Amino acid sequence: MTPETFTTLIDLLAWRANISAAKMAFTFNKIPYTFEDLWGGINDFATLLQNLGVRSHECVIIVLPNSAEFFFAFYGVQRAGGIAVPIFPQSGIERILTIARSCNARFIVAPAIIATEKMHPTQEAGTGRGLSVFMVNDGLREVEESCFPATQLKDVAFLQYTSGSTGNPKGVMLTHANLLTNIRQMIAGMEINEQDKFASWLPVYHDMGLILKTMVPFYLATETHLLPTNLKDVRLWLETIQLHRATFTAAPDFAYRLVLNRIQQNEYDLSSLRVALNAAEPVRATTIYEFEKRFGLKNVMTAGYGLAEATVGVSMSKPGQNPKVDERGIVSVGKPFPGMEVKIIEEGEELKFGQVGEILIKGTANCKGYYNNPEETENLFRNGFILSGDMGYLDEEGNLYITGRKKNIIKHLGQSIAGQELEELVDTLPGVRFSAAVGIDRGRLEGEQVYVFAEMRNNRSTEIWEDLTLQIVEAIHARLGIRPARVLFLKPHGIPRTYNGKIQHVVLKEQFLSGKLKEDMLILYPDY
Amino acid sequence: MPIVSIDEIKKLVGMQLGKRNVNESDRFVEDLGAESADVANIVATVEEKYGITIKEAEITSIFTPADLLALVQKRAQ
Repeated sequence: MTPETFTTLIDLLAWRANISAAKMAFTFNKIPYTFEDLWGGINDFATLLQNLGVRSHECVIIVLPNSAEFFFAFYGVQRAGGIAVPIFPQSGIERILTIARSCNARFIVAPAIIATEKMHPTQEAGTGRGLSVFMVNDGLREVEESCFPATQLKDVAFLQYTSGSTGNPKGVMLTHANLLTNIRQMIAGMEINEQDKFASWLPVYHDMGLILKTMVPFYLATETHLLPTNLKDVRLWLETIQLHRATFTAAPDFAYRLVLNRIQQNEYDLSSLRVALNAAEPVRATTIYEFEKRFGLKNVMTAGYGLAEATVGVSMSKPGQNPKVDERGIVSVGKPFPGMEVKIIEEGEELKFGQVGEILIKGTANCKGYYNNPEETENLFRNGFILSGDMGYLDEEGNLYITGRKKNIIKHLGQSIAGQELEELVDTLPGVRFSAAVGIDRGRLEGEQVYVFAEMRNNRSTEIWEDLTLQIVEAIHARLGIRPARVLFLKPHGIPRTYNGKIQHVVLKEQFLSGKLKEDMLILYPDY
Repeated sequence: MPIVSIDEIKKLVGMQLGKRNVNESDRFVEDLGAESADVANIVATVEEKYGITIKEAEITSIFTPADLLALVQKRAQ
């Protein structure tokens, strides 16, 4: 048997535990776990879930950080016949509850360490709706092995929640078929083989870190070293690459910029790297040149593009080739992976080479849609293609270039945040007439940051603005676990809108950056 | 540049982090729960508010509002 013969990840992991039991599946924080350990943890967890009464195709929320327990829970849910719903562990309680409601979850898996302080209110708030919170180490290894339902190709393995509007969360449904398709596409497109060695600090609860950096290596049984997501110390990442002679790593552009900022010329030997994938946010050509120069590498950093709705990976520039950069300075994300059909359209018409329009994607890695959300699911597809919401063009050779976004999506440190979700939150605060949230990259190290603009009902005092700033920052942090770079209060009609009332986010961004907002005296507060 | 007070810096840090009570010796990360992006945003706000430039290397030695004030005052001289 080979990995190609399997139709679900669960069957594949069972087979791995059987034929390569003693082989290391991954290390987390230097502790090795074999495929036998992984499968054991998965089954214990699945047994626990079954004893708790988890039903077939029932969603179970997982609020775990990078850890071995994450994998036990993630695959344990699927083994027990359920659908795993991993979410950012930094998510505020409100967001966790919104998602729990949206997918009718009755169980939330949280680590013991945060469960007491953070999950307690969740438990309280969840009471009465039958929501229960439990810790991953509850009752493990105390139960008998039980019998689990067989997983099928068409079963939804997990939901990847993406940022959307508050009342309408979008959980991308990914089946085993989607996952195995995209895993195989990425392996072919990036020429990954069993000899590759992976090193990653990316969140395992999010698509790139989960699918590319853990499912692909589990599939091939390649050596994989996982780290916590903490980037306060980028050295751990580089040390891991150096120590294990890793060949494959991936991160958003900002993480590589962080390395450039903190690490001196040739401080680490990264010569083993074959691929340093740069994806999940706009790729800067300077990052590629500087990173390779700093570590004496050549054609190792490759630009990639993808989205949760197409499982994860859509295209990547070929390792070992010079990066393609157009006259505007946009780095090409390469040709689509084999089996991915990409076209560019504008107002329903397919565009020619070089013309910018919305990127549409078709293939067996296309998701089934959003869970419990027929309306958004319908909006997602057109004639079997996914409307990506990203703008770009194809060159004559078929290389894809991403020029911007159709929707107002803020790329904050590799995380996609819908501006609308922030705006809905701010609009509910007292005195706010209307708000707009945009992502602004002022060329600093951290890249794109959240800027909130709020129009006020009437002129207020500095004290009120200061208090409202606190409320806005608190509210955003409570929901999404991030804080805006700036909160600005504008006069009524300070936020540019179209004649039918749609916020013109790009215009607002330009007016702010060019100083026009200030010149036109539209900013009430602050005065700097 | 006008004289900058510790209260002003404390208020600025508090508004950036969504904290009502900030002490001058509170550490941004450990005591106030800031992420590295938040610290960078505090620095950016200080730069814009006081019209000064803070080097990347200097950011690594700023841990508290008091450190920030000392740097702003030094730059103002």
